[in-house]
Amino acid sequence: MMGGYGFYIGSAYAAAGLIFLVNGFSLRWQKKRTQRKLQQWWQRPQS
Amino acid sequence: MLKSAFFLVGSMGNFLYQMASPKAFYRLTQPWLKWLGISALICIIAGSVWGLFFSPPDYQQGDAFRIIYLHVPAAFLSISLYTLMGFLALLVLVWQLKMAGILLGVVAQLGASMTFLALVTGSIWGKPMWGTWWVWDSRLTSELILLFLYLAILVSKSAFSSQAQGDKLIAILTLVGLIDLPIIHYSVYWWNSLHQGASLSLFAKPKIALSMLYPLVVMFAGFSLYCLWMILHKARNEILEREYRQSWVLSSIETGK
Repeated sequence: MMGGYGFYIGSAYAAAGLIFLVNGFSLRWQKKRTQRKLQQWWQRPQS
Repeated sequence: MLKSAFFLVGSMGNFLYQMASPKAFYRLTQPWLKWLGISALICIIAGSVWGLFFSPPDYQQGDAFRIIYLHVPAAFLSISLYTLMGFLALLVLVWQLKMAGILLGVVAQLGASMTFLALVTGSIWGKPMWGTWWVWDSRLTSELILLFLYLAILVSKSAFSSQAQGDKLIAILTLVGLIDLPIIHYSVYWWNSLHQGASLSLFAKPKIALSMLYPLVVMFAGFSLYCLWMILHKARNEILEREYRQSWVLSSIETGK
């Protein structure tokens, strides 16, 4: 398949998929961290 | 004609002026996210299927050339995102725009990931074509330096407790690093290089067949839309993180806008 270059083409696409996945998880982690920060601020003891 | 050009420039200026406020940026970009994400996904899937299964193999490289559909858009974005950072760095240093500082860090994250992808896919393409995963070639080395620049910017940003100071430092670092961009672009002409010269130019006829070029253009669009979508998501999140004490943040989250 792919003239014997299937491994290389597949690896390149796997690398791209991995990068997209890492970006997605990084965004999710950043959003969770922000949510925690916002909740702490809203639930702070009022003086 | 002139009147409509002035109107267009005026409207653009007004829009950009509005976007300089984190609150307006957060609210104005909300409706774009869904469409950007969907368009990016459609373009990347369509470009990949077209490029992998419907464009003809190269007469010298055979099917291995199909890595172009990942490598070239990633490499193009690695450079263009850094150029965008140069513009944002000027806005931070000259006009001290808070929004430019927020975007500077976010664009650096995407730029670093695109540079890494360009290097990895280039290496994977290099093995069957050049017989080696890596050579200390001028193009490859200058692109690797770009990755280190991005990483240095990201690390420096997190080293400061004061966001304004951090923004200024990474703006200066960004401007210093701009010197690498012409080196990357002209490296294949200035030095003997294994890497081929540019196949595409804004001002010249493309050197590749149109049947190979069209899926590449679709992939360019897909990758650019993906980066824009990611940048907006991350910038909106960064705005909340920085402005969490403001009352509009609570009302925006409650109303979902």
